[in-house]
Amino acid sequence: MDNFDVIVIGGGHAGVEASLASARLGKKTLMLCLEYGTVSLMPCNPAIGGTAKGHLVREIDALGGQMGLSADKALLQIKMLNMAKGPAVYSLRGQEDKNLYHGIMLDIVNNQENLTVIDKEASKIVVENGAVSGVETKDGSKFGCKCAVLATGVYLHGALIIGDYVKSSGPSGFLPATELTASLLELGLPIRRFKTGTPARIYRDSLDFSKMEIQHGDDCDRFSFMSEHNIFEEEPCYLTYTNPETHRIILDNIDRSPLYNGTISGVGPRYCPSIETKVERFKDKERHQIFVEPEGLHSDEMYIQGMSSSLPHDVQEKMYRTLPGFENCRFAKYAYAIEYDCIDPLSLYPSLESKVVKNLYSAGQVNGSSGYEEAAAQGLIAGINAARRTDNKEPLILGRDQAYIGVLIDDLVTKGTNEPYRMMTARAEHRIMLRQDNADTRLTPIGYEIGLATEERYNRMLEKKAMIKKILNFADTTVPREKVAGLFEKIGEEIPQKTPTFRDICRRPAVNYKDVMEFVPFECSGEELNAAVIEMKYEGYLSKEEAAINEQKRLESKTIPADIDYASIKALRIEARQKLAEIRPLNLGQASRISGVSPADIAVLIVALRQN
Amino acid sequence: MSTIAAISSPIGTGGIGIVRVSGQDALKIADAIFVFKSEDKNWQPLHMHFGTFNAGDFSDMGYAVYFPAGKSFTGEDTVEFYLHGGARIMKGALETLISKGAVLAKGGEFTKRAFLNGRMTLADAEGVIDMINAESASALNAAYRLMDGEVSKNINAILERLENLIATLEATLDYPDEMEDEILPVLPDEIDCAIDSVEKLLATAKCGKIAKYGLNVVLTGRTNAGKSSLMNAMLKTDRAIVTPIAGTTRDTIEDSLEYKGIKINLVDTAGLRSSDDIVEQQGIERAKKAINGADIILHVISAEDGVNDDVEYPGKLVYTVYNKCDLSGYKDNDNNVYYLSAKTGDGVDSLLDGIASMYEISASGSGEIITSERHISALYETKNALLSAKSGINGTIDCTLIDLRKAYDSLGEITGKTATEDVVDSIFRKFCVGK
Repeated sequence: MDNFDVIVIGGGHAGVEASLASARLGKKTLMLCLEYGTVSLMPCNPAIGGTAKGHLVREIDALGGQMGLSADKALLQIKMLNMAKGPAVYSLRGQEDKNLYHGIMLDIVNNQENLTVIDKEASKIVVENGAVSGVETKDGSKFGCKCAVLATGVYLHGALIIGDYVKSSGPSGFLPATELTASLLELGLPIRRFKTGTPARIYRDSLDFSKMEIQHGDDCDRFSFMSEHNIFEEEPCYLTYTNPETHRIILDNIDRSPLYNGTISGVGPRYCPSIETKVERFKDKERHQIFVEPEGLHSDEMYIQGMSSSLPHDVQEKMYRTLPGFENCRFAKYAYAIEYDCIDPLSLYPSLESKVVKNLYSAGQVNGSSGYEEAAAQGLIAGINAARRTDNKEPLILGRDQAYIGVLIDDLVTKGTNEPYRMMTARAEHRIMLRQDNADTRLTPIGYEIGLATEERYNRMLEKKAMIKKILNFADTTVPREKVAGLFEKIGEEIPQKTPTFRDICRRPAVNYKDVMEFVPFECSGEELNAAVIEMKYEGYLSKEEAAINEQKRLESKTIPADIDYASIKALRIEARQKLAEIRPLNLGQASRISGVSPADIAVLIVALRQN
Repeated sequence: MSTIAAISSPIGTGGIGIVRVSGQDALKIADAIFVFKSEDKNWQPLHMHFGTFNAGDFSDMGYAVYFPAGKSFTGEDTVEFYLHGGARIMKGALETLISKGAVLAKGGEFTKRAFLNGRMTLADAEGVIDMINAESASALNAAYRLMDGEVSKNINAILERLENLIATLEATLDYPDEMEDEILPVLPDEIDCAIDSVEKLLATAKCGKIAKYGLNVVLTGRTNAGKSSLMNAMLKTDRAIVTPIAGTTRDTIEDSLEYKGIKINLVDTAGLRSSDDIVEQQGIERAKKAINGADIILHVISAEDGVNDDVEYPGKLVYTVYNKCDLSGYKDNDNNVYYLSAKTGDGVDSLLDGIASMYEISASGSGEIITSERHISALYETKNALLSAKSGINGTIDCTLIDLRKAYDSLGEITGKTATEDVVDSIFRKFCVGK
């Protein structure tokens, strides 16, 4: 029997990050995937990033993960979203060449030192004395390990649903995993069923793009702090709209939708509604946006974002053909919904280790999340923590004030979720601190410390930090009036009586870093200057936020012993006792976020801890 | 850490009451309120300073002690004030601390901080659990009482308004493509509207104070206008000494009556005139202080001579009272002007009705009034956050939302709501977003 330090089950976005992290930390790692073709597959939209998700990619990158670097190499276009809404919510979104992305990742995985990839279906987690000791595959092979990471995506008992037609399947026609769930149930993991869906793919040559609005990317940063500003061949996207005829066809056939006739039992995400859900729920909305996106450079197929559906094929054909430019469209793949087994994330520690089985970690959709980026972020953390466990090191747990990754995992394991969880900026209460521009200064020191971020990456971050400091030191120097006259005229303001300092100028709402570049008397990059300008503009808000964070930190730093017996703390209300016993928070901060645990309960807990 | 404040002595009237403020701004807040009377120039650690506690609408002489971080119960900078006991002074002092930036301490919070700062001993623990339980039980009862009430309806209406606003703005941040078609609310109008609603609720808080502690009515006017006679007539006793000699009343005289279920605290003052008499001068000083704390001022004029000094009482509700009308003839009462005779008692009940109506007017708007210090503190925090949102309106939405969410969370503390979850739910309920 071959022995490994870490076995990762699954080769999707979570599995790949977990495998690479573990192998890069020097652990002998095995990745089990159903088929080589499923490695880093993008079975839904051909894009990476977007609001909050773009933050996750930057953070994965800053820690030394792979997603950002690979995404930059497979770009079809890139855009910085929310430019008018403030730096806390600037978000990168890139259209990606799916095949190219898959190819790049497969290449990296195959060439990674310490990493073995085998295309076998895991069928059983072997546990001895409550801890993982190995994994068996369907063909009867056995592999020993110290830790395992579950990253099974939507493959566990995957069931594809179109209309009244249900078929056991993984996404895009790949095989489902049929045996592992039974093993997980036997181990006592809480299993439930979620649902997601994807729209149709339409042949490019059957669409009339002249009837749609063309959409280009812009010239902005790349995902990875380490990427060159590469040149790539841009592919535009297109925008079209549904109309009353589309809506009529959908409503006429609503009883044939499995979402409405009861065929689908799984819980679907609110933020990926099918077109029938949108039309049914928002009846007064006259039209819905439909984005037409290329699946790859010169790919034959276009992804029709906004038209997810599980209606039967004949209805799909009718409704798609009502869209302007779609009159003669031909289907490459029909839209479908997919149901799958996943774990209740409340059964996980913030390290992503299971509370039920020691040394068993899990990441991605199997934890009830949704999205490539959410999966990759968890995969990275699960991989890091599995590797660290083999050395008996403390797990890496990022705080809600440190990273979107921290918010994502804390939400999952502390609050739980009743639908596939999507990252949103609205979920990050400290988002003004968690910007995409400072992901490196926030997280690269941590990535470097644990041995994942390279020396080169670390030094680059240090240089950037030093330069930001240099600019801030210069900020109180006045800028001669004749130099700033042009800028003030441009923003339509009078030059103040008192000659403005560099800081004064930067703090004006209408001014951005490009406007003030010429006033800096030394060489610096746009990225560095931008970071410094943001620091100055948002100084007041940042310091307010820091005060709030410090307050919370003191609770986070008070750990709760793992063996605490909540039932014995009679002063706690019964509901609080039950919730605390179920979630078993690691510290008082996590305890305070559990729904049903009041501030008074926390005070009682504090006193009880003190007594023990 | 925020700076917290609470009344630390037992509820009820005592000779001395203690109010305490703890946290990094404790000294700054204390400095803004307490004026040393002695030679002291600076706060000395663990030193009892004598001085004046200025509460805005009243002031009190007392002592203050500064316990520096590490030498206090909580382990943080703490200032304790030893003032005259009594609910009114204690509550007033606490409100002043809150208005200067402290937040009301939650049940067990001083103890919690003491623990977090490593200042609590094992011996304290047992008693503290009981205390926290008692406090949370009473807070729970209070919350329960609040659930069906008018106050709760009003608060929920503001919360709903804020939630809509925040959810809409958040949706534009998380779904920039899909929200382009949506009509966005006019931000300054929405914020103004929310501030207005919060202020209305705060106004009922004032009314709540009246319900609990009574309405303060101060009699002023020239000497010999018959203030003391009027007081006696209202009390229906010979409480104040009445003589024809101008300046008979030297000290302020206080007494209370209940009229139509409302407690009215009457304060008779020395007539305001320049005097060489040291005793009378002191009395005039006290009169000025009483005026500061008044809810209603009865400016008494002798109708016999009709001499009016035209004294102004900025920001105060003033009733002009013509006394001795039995000698000069009665007229119909007009808007805040009363004609009566203290001697015969004619017209005195009309004045009392007028006083009582002031309470009824402020209470009638909502039917229920805010009395909890915790709620008042939350409302002030909400208001401050909204004002901050308003002042930053030219900045970017991400920053405005920090203030709006703070406002929501502060107000939500009353009803137990938090922004993040509610807002995310609201986004999906209201808008067709997601692809």
